[in-house]
Amino acid sequence: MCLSIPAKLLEIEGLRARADVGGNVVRVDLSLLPDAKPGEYVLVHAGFALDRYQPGEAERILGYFQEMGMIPADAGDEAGTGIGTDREAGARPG
Amino acid sequence: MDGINGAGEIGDGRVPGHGPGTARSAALAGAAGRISGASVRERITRAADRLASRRVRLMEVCGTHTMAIFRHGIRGLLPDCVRLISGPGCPVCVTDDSYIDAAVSLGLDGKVTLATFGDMMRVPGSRGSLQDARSRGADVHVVYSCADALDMAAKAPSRQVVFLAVGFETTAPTIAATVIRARNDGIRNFSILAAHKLIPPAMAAVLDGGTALDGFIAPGHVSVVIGSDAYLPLAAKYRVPIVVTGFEADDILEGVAMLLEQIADGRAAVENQYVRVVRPGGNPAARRAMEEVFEPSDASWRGLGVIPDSGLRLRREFTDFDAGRRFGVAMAPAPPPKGCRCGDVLKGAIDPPECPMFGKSCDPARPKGPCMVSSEGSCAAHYRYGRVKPGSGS
Ligand code: SF4
Repeated sequence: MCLSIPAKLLEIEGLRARADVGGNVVRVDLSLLPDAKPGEYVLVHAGFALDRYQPGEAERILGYFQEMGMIPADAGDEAGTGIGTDREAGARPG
Repeated sequence: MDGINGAGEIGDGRVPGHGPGTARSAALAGAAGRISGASVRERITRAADRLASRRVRLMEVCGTHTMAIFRHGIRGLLPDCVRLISGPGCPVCVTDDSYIDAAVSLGLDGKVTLATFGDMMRVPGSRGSLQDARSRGADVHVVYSCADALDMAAKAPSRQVVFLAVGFETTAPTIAATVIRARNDGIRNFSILAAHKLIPPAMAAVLDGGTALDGFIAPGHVSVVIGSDAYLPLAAKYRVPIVVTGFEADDILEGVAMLLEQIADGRAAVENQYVRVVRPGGNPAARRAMEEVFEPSDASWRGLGVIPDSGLRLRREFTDFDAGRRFGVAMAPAPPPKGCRCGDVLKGAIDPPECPMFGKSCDPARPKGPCMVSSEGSCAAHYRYGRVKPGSGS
């Protein structure tokens, strides 16, 4: 189980970033992708960015996961402590 | 591994003319996830023809693949001689009862706050689930990230916070990064109960266990961290074709096509269908963090038993963060849940409907085993999507 989602990095402060996931703002840790830049699409797993996406790929895979019901269409919250309002469904190891 | 007797070249290279371009243009031609890759399906038919009517069994070892395969009815799109089976690809499902039991008793002791990924909450152990423990007074919090558990500890210095650290190579680096931060920030009231699992040793164990397999659909996101090269020793030792594969319907179909082509050619190589995202060396920073904090250790898998060097334990420098040591947690072997056949499901020995409880006394609302609890478990995927007609795609 490897649920990981694409997010667009908005602003970065040190190793912490705020990112957009399908219109919702989430908090993303950049410890494992320290050279990520604002504007880039990254693969986020359990709150950490693990890789960057090529342009176009991220939007497609996000739409796909939402269509699959793997992530809620409303996929984040401003506090960034959970992905989605139903945190118990959103928190998955992989 | 009958039939795999060719040159068995190893490399992450792809067969010329069967490159990612094929998949990408096919996928882009339709909306995400819809099955548009007629050319990919032709490749599958051609390769199956070359195999005459030899039966081929391919295993996926990633819960997201399992869900996608059921969601899209991909099994029904393949020639009759090709069977897809789900392996131990869901970290919640492979977590042993003994781990759940240890976490439950730690929670019920009342001395610590447990923080866990949500999927773990309803997994039944031999003394109930974490959710049951919470209703009996244990302090259990669901978090999205291990970093959130560390934040909880930083905000409540008088409370011991224990994070239930499960997951494959995708998750382990996030835990490692958090443990490094806990050390650097001097947060003393944070620790982890580690039960991480590694995918390549599990793939080897499935083969060693005698499950007849002709190829692996290797996981996309685990491979983002470990890289496609991580499967080279496995392909060489077992002469088994391995294709790292993406998650959309066309990706999976192309992964199957690439495997069938290898089998028909008599090759056993590591190929990467998901070059859009996965690199040969993975994510070096993530691998470094994982190697700094953890070392390989034997681990107990539900259904597969103890597999040598298939888990991760904290290195000596980090044992201060080992909740097992800090609180004297013992993992006693638990009796297998009565009648639940998750173990056989995880080995690919049976399909979920072959379990007598499937859909009767066991369903997602009242799960008897972890394979039904986790939405990415084989039983849950079968239950939700097993009746979707092949090809109904989206
Ligand atoms: S259907 Fe339920 S009881 Fe049967 S193997 Fe799956 S989880 Fe276990």
